[in-house]
Amino acid sequence: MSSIRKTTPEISIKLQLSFEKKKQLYALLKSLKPDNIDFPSGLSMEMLTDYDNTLVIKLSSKGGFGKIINTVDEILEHISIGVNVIANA
Amino acid sequence: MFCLGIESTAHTFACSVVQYSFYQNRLIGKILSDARDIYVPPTGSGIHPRDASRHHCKAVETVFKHALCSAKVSMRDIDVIAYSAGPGLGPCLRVGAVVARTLSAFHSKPLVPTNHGIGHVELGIMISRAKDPLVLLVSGGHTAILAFSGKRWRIFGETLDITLGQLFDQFGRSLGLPSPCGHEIEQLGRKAAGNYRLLPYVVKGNDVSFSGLLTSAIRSVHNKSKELSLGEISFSLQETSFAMVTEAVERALSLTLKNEFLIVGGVAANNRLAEMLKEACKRQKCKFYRCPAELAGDNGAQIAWAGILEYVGKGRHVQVEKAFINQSWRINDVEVIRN
Repeated sequence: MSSIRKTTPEISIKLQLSFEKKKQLYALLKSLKPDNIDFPSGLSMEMLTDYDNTLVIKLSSKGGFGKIINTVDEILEHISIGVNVIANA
Repeated sequence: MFCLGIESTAHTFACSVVQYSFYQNRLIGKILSDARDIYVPPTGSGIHPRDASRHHCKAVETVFKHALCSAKVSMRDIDVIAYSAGPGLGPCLRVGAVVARTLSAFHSKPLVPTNHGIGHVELGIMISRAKDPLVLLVSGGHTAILAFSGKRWRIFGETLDITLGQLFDQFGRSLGLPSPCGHEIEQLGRKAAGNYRLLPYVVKGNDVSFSGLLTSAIRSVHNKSKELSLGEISFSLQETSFAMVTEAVERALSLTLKNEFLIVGGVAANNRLAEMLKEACKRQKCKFYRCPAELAGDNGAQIAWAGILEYVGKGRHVQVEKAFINQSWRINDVEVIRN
């Protein structure tokens, strides 16, 4: 009987968030960057800005689904609180 | 001048506005607002870092708005932003840091990372007006006896394992009590006051150890012969742990010859502990100060005040891109300029 080896696919995710104002985009980018350290092995991330006030976040994971799901979840949460505090200040 | 302080190290998300000025060459502070929201874990469970950080994310908007509104200021009036950079739970620290960094970057305000423990100590000193006290910092995250020397709060004694707050929370959780459990245990113990049963008492030099005491107390609860009531165990647990801390404090007072003593941190709200420490201070002819219960637990004012001391006292602030968090930032790693 042949055994089936469990393999996890390489996953890539690209998030694009469009902002009305450049100031808001750069404030969020600056705010998120310091936490982009000490990634678990197999996970990598890049954050950049596009010409039309868009924040682009590229993630890739070789280590299964859990890490990338949790990372995307936390990043979106942080962006959401950043947007909220700017709106409410 | 106004500082916005943001706290998010563990179960509390808090924002506070503190006004500061100079009076007779002395930096003085006034707490204008103190808004907070506390994550309550399911009964019988401890803090799950990710669940607590989700709570904080939900609480940000309301707490932040409330802090500004009750201080009657807007972000335009804020001169500096301080946040708790550690020690604490990573996901929770990141929420406060993101809020602080975003506000700092968007409104071009100076940003100051502060040590949470320093915040407890310095706020206690600001309120009590003590000049050079020996400090006992007791909370869920700390149990340490501190003395100021050579621009730092030096650790004169500390727990070798769990903190006093963790001792009560872990014991309380084993009874199925909701966290934080200190108040409930104080109430349970009061019912059996005077019925003391011997539990492990471990003081090593100026350090204390609570893990054996915790195991023994939990075993007594689950002992099938039920020799001891819950009240008796709670009373004995409190008496034993507080006596250990008091012994270490009294020895530190006697060695340092300090004539002021201050207790800060969440467990400072416990009246029995305060009573025992007051007696020790009397014996050592030392003034006793206690952080008021409403500011003993984690709050934004402690962070704002620590930030003010850092920013005004040392002129220190950081670029947003370099605004770090450090989950295990020791209190004695921070250089402090005293007011």
